[in-house]
Amino acid sequence: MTEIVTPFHAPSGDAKLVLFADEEIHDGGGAEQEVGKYLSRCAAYAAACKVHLVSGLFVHRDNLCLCLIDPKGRPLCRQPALHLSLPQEGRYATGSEVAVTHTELGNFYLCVDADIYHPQTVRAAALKGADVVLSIQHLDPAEDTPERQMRSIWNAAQSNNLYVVNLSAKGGSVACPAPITRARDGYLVRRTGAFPMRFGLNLTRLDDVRSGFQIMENINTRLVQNYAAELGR
Amino acid sequence: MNKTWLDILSFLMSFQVTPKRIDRILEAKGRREQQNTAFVAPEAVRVSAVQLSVRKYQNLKDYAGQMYDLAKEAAENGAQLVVFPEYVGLLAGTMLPNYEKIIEWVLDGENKVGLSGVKLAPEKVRLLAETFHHFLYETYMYTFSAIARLLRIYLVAGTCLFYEDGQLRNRCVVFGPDGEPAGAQEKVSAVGFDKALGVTPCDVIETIPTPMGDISVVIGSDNYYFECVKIARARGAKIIAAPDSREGVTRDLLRCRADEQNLYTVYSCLTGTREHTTALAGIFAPVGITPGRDGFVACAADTEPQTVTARVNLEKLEHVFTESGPNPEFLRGDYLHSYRYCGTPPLGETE
Repeated sequence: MTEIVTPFHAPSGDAKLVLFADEEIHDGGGAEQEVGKYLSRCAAYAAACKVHLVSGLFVHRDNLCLCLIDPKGRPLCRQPALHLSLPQEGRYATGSEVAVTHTELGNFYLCVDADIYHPQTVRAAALKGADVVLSIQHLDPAEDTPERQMRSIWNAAQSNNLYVVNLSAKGGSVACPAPITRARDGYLVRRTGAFPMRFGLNLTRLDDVRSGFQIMENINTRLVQNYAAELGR
Repeated sequence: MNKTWLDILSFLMSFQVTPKRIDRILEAKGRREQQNTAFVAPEAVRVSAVQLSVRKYQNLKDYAGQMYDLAKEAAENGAQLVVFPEYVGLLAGTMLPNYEKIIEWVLDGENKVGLSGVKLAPEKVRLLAETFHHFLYETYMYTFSAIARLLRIYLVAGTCLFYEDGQLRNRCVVFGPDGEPAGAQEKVSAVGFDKALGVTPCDVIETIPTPMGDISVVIGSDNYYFECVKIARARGAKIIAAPDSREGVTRDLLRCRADEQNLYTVYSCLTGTREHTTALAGIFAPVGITPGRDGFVACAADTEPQTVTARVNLEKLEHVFTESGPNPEFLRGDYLHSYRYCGTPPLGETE
């Protein structure tokens, strides 16, 4: 069971993966020690609750980052943002690689802030075996619309046959391949601001859908090769 | 069902469907004097998406007549570019006597409605392709060529199966107002029904020059691959014609592609089977330049056969707001390298 809770609130007993309903950027007011304290608190929480935890957005070595922590409180992955939204441009440096973390719960990609708007990021993650994209965005609630949700998280889920969990503008939502959902609309959880938010990520069902409609397996690599210049812009 | 019987059917159809008959039927329906492409301004390009029902066509007049009528409706609404649905050429196959039995035979008796998840016997598909290729080719090419010429429009003629050198291709031909092919695009990935048919993917995205600017065609399930649309955009296309045959999320994917790649998408679809009940043709644009901020320029109101025509302003694409810029280091490095993991032969490998 996956759960989105208000920061540092105890999850349900059966929760295995926890995200904090917190899309603020923890920059420690410029002091790395403060950021370190925040991450230590996250690690202690993960160990105490015996869950995998996705941290909130934080600034580390000039990168805007997310971190996945295992149930023993150890960091599994630090993913820097590859793209920055306009307000963040110039403030932070960008990373250059997508990391997929393999755990017993599935393979996760931490999608930082504006990276969800760039289809290449989730495509690279899906190609590296991601089952679930965990996306946290620092977003003004005024910018949040159903169309934005569709063109970012829903689009990523349909185009790559994977789950996308998104936290932004004080709300959460989960998109997945349309055949997984009862309404065939591709939304496992429509956007809600009511936390805690609980849902299951059924990877067996995901694999069934993937084997029935093999998007990733049928990518035309010769096409990619022929147009590497266009795709690399 | 055996080869001899299929050969007899093919022989019979070679008399019923000839280029001359197609021309005669369509010429009798009339020629349009006004040419919508005579004056073109990028601020006011008129495009049209055709929505068609899947049904049995009684004869050539029935088939060619409906295609003409829909294209004419679009032309009279000012359309300069008209897009027909994927597999519109295969619908001509419903003219074959006992076509239901042929379908049942190729499906191995499986009672399946719609195209998704269908299982076909490859050897039977191949036999049908060999036997009826000329019939399908002539019906498709001559019908849509004549319609484009008579109505003096650019016609994205949906798709038809082409059987060449032992390979099946799902190909869309774009006809100019003179009736000559202006370009063509084949499916670049074989998933779902194309995979069941054994379609061979192609490795090229064409941009087709027209007075309205370069256009590209991205067929059906190829729209799951943002790469196709990105390549087309990078090569100058501002309008993507998207012929489709399947229900599901394709329409909303086209809304996403329009916004993501900053261009217009024209979505043409098939309706009329249980599977297709929610497919609605439409024209989509980046969210920021649509009146409702929802990506819709126009959309069909119901599933009846119809055309959806709208004016698109290509100049507006120059002023679309982007939320964040690209990361060239990532794109040229990790991103392009990641395609090595997709399971097909890796980049750089040659035959």
